[in-house]
Amino acid sequence: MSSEELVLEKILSTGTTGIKKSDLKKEFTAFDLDKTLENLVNDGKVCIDKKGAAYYCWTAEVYLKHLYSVDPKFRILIERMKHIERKLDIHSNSVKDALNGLIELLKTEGADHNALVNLDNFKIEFDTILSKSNSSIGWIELGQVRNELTQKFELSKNEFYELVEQLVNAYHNEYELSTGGNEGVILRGLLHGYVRGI
Amino acid sequence: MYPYGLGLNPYPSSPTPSYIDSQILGGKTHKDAKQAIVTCISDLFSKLEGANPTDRDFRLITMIQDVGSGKTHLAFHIKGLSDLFEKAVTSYVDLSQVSPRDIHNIYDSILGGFSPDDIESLRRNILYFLCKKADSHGSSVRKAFNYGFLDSLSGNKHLKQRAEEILKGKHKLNFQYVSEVLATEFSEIQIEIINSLLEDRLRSDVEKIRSLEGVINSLSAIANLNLKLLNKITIFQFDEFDSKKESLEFIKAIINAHIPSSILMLILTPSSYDEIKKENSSVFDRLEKANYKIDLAGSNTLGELKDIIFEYIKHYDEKGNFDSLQESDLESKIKLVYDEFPDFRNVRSMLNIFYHATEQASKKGSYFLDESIIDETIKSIYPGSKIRGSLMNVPLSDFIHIKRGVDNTEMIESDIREAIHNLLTLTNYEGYVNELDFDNHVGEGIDVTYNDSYGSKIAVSVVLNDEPIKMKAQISNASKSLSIVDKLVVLTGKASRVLGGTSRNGNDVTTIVNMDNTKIVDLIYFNKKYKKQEILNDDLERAITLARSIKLC
Repeated sequence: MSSEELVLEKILSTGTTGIKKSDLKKEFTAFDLDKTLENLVNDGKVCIDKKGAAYYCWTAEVYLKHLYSVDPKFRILIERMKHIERKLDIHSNSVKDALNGLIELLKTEGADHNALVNLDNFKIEFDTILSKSNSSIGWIELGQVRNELTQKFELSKNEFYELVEQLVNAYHNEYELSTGGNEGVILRGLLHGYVRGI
Repeated sequence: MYPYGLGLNPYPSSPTPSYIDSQILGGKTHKDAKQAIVTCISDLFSKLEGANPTDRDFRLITMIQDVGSGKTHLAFHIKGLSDLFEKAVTSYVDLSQVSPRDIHNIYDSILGGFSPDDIESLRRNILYFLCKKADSHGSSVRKAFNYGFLDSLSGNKHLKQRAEEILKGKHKLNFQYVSEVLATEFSEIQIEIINSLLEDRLRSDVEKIRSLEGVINSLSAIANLNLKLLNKITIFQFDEFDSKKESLEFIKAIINAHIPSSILMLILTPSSYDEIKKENSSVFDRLEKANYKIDLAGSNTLGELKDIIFEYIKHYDEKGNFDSLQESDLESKIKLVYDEFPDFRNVRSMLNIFYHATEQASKKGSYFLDESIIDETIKSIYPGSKIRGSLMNVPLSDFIHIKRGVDNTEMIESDIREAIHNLLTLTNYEGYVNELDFDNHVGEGIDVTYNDSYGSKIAVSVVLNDEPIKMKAQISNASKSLSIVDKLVVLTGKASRVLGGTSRNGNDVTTIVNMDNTKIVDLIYFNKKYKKQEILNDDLERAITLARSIKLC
């Protein structure tokens, strides 16, 4: 152990009370204590201050606690600083919230971009696909319509079928659905995977 | 007694049509389809008058539509159509009942698909044909009729009487001589079928046929007998035609055979049609070239369903009780069920509801099918059903009553305001919002302010104006409150452009909630119950959900 380590350990063991410099001198005679303490003070590890008539040594953190308990001015300053710190925290949280909000907004904007799909333009594209269908009986698989429509709109499967349901409900005299297929809209507990215009 | 003075419930009680029910056909789409089929039959029939049938005298009809839309009903209707009694004999086969689908089972089902009257008529005409042959083959015919010495003394005078007795099972034929008489005009296979027919073992002889070709030859023979002896063409109806291998092979063979003087009618769903396309392109290509593709497009539309429902009543309304007033009243109820319950937009489902509603009305002694009866019916036969989008579980009868006034915004605006007040009072009581203030201190057009659970001050404005310009002006006025409150919720009944505002903390926080009719009905219904202090347990949760759905908390 170096002389600095030996001294620091001793000071640490004394806690908030600190240790008199004279007591340290009595204990550590094998090396130059003044020189060692100077090094520790310069490194910011130890603080030396007068308490009563004697000089005492503390570690830096313990010294602050000591000051907080004995020095009213210091206590007020610390309280003020804590108050400022809390305010900063609140503001930083607000900034964080604002940023999160912004991110959400950007996400929504992104979603809105895809969902520039409204029922009206969805209907136009949907009708176009139905009219292009080469099925002689007019029926076409909804899965096929979805494949073609998702090339135009970025729609998830659920979003697509929600729109199909809305469309068929809103214009129930223009479309009819039929059971079967691999994907589609559930009606009366049955999968309706075929559609055609009336 | 049933509604409208009917002596019986006019609607079918079974999920699949019965022969008797199928004689009633309603709806323009279905009637047009029927007409197309009748035209096809009549065309073929007229071509065969005085001509020998060839393989050109074959027609293929496909009828493709979703389940429960009336395909089987139409097929049955065609089979029993009195206009066609003189022109066609029909065999109806439900392929879903044929299992396993080997050639014997299918052939047996085809034979079983003819009506007993048609079979009897064919037997009778065979015997009459034999009687006519007495002029040229007198001795053989008499022997065929098992005439004894005394019978022979009367010559051919009583042959018809003997034929009737044979039909009644009092006498038997001597088939050795029957074959002899028929040999010049009928093929060997036809004579075999005639023998089976006269001995009433037509279906038990099915096992004798060993190949698909044998089945096709027998069907051709039957079609020819029908034409020659009854002067009728033969219709083979195959319902529930699907993509199973055995069905496809059989149908392909029949189409390829072009059975003279016959019509093949295939009844299937769009999904089966699509599966056949994937499964067997050869059969699919043949189906694509069908002479008639019966289009039942629109068979589940409101107009069609309404016509069908009326047709049943009118069919049994001998006294003409169902007048235009009642028609119009019932029409509004049909429309309501159709609009609010998408699951019932289907002939089968709708008829099921009206069958049960009619029974219910009869039990209650009601002359009409009113809202409460339809409501009770739906609740009892479809317990899980509810009005589309309704959060308050509004009974159909209340829904109808409230919905009548919804379109008059002037009338309902004050009700909606009151409902919002009461809804917020309830949510306040339940702790979802606080500091409710119904006295407008924040600006023009604000109905209520409160603090949400996060402490934000919310202002609510109800704007139900029919005129877009006035509505926008109202929203714009309300937006001014944003300098005082944190958020403005505008409740409107019409879709409108979102008009932003700026609140005291600088964010754009106007929320425009476009309430559809169902939501408005929910609010009015809630208010009605709230005022009667009937909001309990489940209703309480529903009310909170309603408040959330319109962004109040």
